[in-house]
Amino acid sequence: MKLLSLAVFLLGFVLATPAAGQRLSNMTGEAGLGGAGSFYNSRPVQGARGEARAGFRAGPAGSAWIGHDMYARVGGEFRYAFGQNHLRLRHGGSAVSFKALSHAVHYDLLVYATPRNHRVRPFAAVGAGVKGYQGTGSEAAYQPLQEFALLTRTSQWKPMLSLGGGLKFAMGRRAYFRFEVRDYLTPFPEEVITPSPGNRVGGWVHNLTPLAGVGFRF
Amino acid sequence: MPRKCWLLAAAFACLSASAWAGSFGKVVAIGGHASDLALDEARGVAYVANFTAGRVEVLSLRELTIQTSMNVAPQPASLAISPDGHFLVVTHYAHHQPPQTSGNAVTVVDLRTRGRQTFALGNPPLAAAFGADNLAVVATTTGFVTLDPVAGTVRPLMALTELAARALPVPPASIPANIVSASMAASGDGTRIYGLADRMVFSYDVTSRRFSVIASQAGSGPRVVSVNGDGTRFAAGASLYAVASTPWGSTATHLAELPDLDTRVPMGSHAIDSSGERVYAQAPTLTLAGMPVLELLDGDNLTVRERLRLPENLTGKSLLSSDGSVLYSVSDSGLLVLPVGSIRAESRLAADVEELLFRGNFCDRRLMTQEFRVVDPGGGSTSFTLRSTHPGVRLTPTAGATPATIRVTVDPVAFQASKGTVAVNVEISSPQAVNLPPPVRVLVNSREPDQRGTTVHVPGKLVDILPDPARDRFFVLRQDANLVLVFDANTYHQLAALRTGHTPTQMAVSFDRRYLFVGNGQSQIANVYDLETLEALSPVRFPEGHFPRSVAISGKAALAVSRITATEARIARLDLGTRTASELPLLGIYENRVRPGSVLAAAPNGATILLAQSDGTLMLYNANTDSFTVARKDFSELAGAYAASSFDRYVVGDRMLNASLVTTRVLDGGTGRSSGFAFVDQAGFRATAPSSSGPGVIQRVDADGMGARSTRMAEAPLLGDAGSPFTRTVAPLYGRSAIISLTVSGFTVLPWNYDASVAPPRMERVVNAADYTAAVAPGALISLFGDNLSPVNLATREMPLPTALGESCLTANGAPVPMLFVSPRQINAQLPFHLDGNVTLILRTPGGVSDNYHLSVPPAAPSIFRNGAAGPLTELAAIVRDKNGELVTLANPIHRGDSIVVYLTGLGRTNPPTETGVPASADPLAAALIQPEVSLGGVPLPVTYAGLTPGQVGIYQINAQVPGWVPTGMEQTLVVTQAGRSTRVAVRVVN
Repeated sequence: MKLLSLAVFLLGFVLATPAAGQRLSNMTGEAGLGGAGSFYNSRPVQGARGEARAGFRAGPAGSAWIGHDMYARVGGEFRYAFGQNHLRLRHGGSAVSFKALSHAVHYDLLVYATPRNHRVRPFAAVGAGVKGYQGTGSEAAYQPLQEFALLTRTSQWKPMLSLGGGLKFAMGRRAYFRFEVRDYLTPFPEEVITPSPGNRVGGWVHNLTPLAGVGFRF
Repeated sequence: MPRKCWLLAAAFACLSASAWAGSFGKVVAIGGHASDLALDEARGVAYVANFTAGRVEVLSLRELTIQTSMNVAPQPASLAISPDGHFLVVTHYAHHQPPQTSGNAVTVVDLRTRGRQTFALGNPPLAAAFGADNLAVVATTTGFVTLDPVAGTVRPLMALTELAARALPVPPASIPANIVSASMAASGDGTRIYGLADRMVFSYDVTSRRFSVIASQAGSGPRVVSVNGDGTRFAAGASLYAVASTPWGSTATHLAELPDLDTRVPMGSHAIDSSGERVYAQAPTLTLAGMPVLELLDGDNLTVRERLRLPENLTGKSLLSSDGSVLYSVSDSGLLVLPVGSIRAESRLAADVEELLFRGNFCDRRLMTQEFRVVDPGGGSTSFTLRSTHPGVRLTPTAGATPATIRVTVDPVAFQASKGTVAVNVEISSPQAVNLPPPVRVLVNSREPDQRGTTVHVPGKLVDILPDPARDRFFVLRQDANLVLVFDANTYHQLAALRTGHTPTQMAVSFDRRYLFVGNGQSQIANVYDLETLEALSPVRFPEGHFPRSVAISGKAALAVSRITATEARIARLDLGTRTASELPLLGIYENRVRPGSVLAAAPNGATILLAQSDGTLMLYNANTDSFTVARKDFSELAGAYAASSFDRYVVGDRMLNASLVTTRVLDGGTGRSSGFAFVDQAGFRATAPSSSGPGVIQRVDADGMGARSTRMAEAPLLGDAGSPFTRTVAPLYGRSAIISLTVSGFTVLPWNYDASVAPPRMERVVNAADYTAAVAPGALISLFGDNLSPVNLATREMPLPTALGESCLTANGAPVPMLFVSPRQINAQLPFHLDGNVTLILRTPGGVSDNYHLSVPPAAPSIFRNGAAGPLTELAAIVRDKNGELVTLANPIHRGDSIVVYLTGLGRTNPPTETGVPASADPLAAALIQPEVSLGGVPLPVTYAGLTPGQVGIYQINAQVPGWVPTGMEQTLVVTQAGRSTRVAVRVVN
């Protein structure tokens, strides 16, 4: 929620700047990359012994994109996002984690508040794609809290929705700075975090990703 | 390694292969009698004092030849080289009887200029050594002087009453070490000098310039002193000392003494390595009958690790090179050079076992075989010859070259008359090996159905047993290895081995039950151990010349019998606070003079301590009066058991005694020699035996000394000898679960109610030991459930598996079945490979013979083991992923592409065939005759191996590959099918 507030504040700040109306470029293509933090919600695992929370630890993320503006205020981009969020299972005061990665590929539509030749371009984004979850930790014959769920060294692809917004801030003729906040939504990856026999887990996994990056227009 | 050391090693390798085969080291003859040596490694030479030729020979350390000789004054006796390598001091022992003129003097040789200066002395100089201050300390018959080799000044340091000095001439064949009878040596850092003369062992602190007398008698043994690097450990004569520094001075503790010395021949030598962990010693012993042998000994208690044959005797000082790789010793011919750092390059022999125990039994009279290996510890090929001292023990082969596997075959018929355990030595000899390997002791037990007890094999010379009075464990004293062995009273497995002094003789537990004390026959200390942590604490130091052989602790005092000579001993009192002991002036109104083989036994309530002597004298210490209140001599001799009760009853030999040590009853003498007795409340257990090789007898004895029915034991309890006439061989456990008797091959466990009538065994169910289903096949591990299957719980680690275990004997169609575990309700065993079809099992126990149990045994019946455990999870299927070596579980699922190993039993006969009860071979592998098939989720898995697991008995394994197209899921079925029978288990499979 704090991140969302920050984004709204920055958007207002940028719209108010005198430079907002400057024309910088008529170029329509762009590419860039950025670093991010990656934060997940957790889901309850219901079982005979009570409830545990299954999810992912916070971790670093990265993203690369290539896009183009189709209209003055509408653009689109292909993105690849990588996250390093270890699997986590918590119950009472106990917790267990397991190394994991995620890869996401998606296409988003971007709707800008200002035309393409403005130095500052707030935008909203919506898109879809797929996200792969991959458990990479070392397996052992016994895993603590395995009576709730099993953190597994395997991979699983899930359909993904992408929602978010941010702004682009031109730093020259070609380069621009980009800040955004995304929420990647997928169904729960039940093969990577597998509920133990008799247990249930489900629902949507939200992956909130505030990102800062740089891009180049061409 | 420096270049010169490589050259030395090469020279020794050549020599050991030719002229010096069969003995260790190279002799350098000097044409006279060597009296001392000094190493000058910086110049690559050693100086050897030629006592009779009046020369100092200069020996090249590289060539091992005498390069030059320095002519000096007559009778050079002692050499010392200054720490800076500048000066060599030579003392001259020209101590002639009148009218001959004495020429006692000291020569200082400047090794840089070869200049020499000789100083006359009024008294014969005995020995010299340099301290770190570059001053030489010279011992003379009247005191000590310091010699400054730079200034050429001699200053008196300390006067002494006259030390013994043998005047010249002496009878022929007297060696210099016995003429001078003194030696000094400095620690590697030069801070301490230790010395030995006829009437004392002394130390000199170079920093404080203070002398201390450590012992007022030098005792027997080599006339040599050796010191480690920092002076914390030194040996003088036959004694090894540890020196500890305290704020008020240093304390020397007598750790051990070279054992079995032939005191008529005061020659020999020793050296301590820099760390003090290893001692090299050669001293004539009674057992080696004059054969020159170098012993490699532990630096804390002189436990023998290796014996090496020498070409001749050592007769004076020994010095190790600075890197510890070469030992230079004064010897008969002059100098003996011993490459101790490259012993691995020498031809040696060793067996990989100390003893082999063959358990014959009444239901298995077939030939028994076991194997051991003869190896060269250095990895070489050394020829050997083996000889058995009994025709019933056959060896194959009897000669060969290392490494070799020796098959020992015992014909039980040749031993069946003994009804006990016979010890047979297998002697290992070689014309090539430089060492003297100890013989392998083969123990053959033959027992009848009425002989009770389960024998647990413990190698070595065991001399005492003691139950922990507050914990479920017991202690056994292994004298030959200088160890206290701690055993768990439930599993009979060894928990710990605690190092003692030399030749431990008896144990005692403190009255507060917190500490274990061990008396030593060849150390002037009693070891102390914390019974909670089993850690060694500071030992109790005894007065000079006192060797505490027996210790007993009452509520008031801790007493010890300490030997002071071969024929005399004293009673000493231990101060547990200061960890010292002192000789009691009197024993009440009696003089303090007892026989060395005497023993003490404390009553459990701490009120009294019994003293029993082999000459028939008995004494009683009373803790309330803190004095000896009874002394009697009603017998001409006493031997055997000794014990004291809390109810004023005592047992010595076959006598039960009252509070005044008057005989109240003579115990039954018809069962053999007395061996052990232990009181339990007012009654007790008594062990006897007619001979060591026959059966033992145990009796329950009531308060009046009346013996109940005698019960024969599986083997004889230990019997005393002339040196140790008293024995303690019975230990009732604290938990009253069993009685342990120290017997010929280790100890024998008897249930507490061993003499109660025993019900016959009853077999209810036979299943495989993997998944406990009824499917069993030839060679499979089986579990037999029922009642009264065994009087004791016992698991064995012996290989091959015994066919009689814990007094139980199982047969299948008349053939003995090897067993792994017995208990009253369950037996685990291996079904013989040659049995299939209809099989009848019969179990024999002390309670009798079971009814027949009929089994139908198909050629194969695979069953996956369910004995896996992970965290709190148990009874997991024994399927292992190759990738991480862990059991397959929900948390460690099978992945597509994995390799897995399934452990199971019941795959039947193998190719090549495997003997029942014997671990499976690794080369060649014993593959299953009938190939099993494996599937996972309905998909067949390629099998890369199916057969016995190498090194295991009755355990098979299947190695299989998991294809990439097996279905995934939480519960996929893995099926093993063989000869129409299958077993299945659910596993998780993931991508």
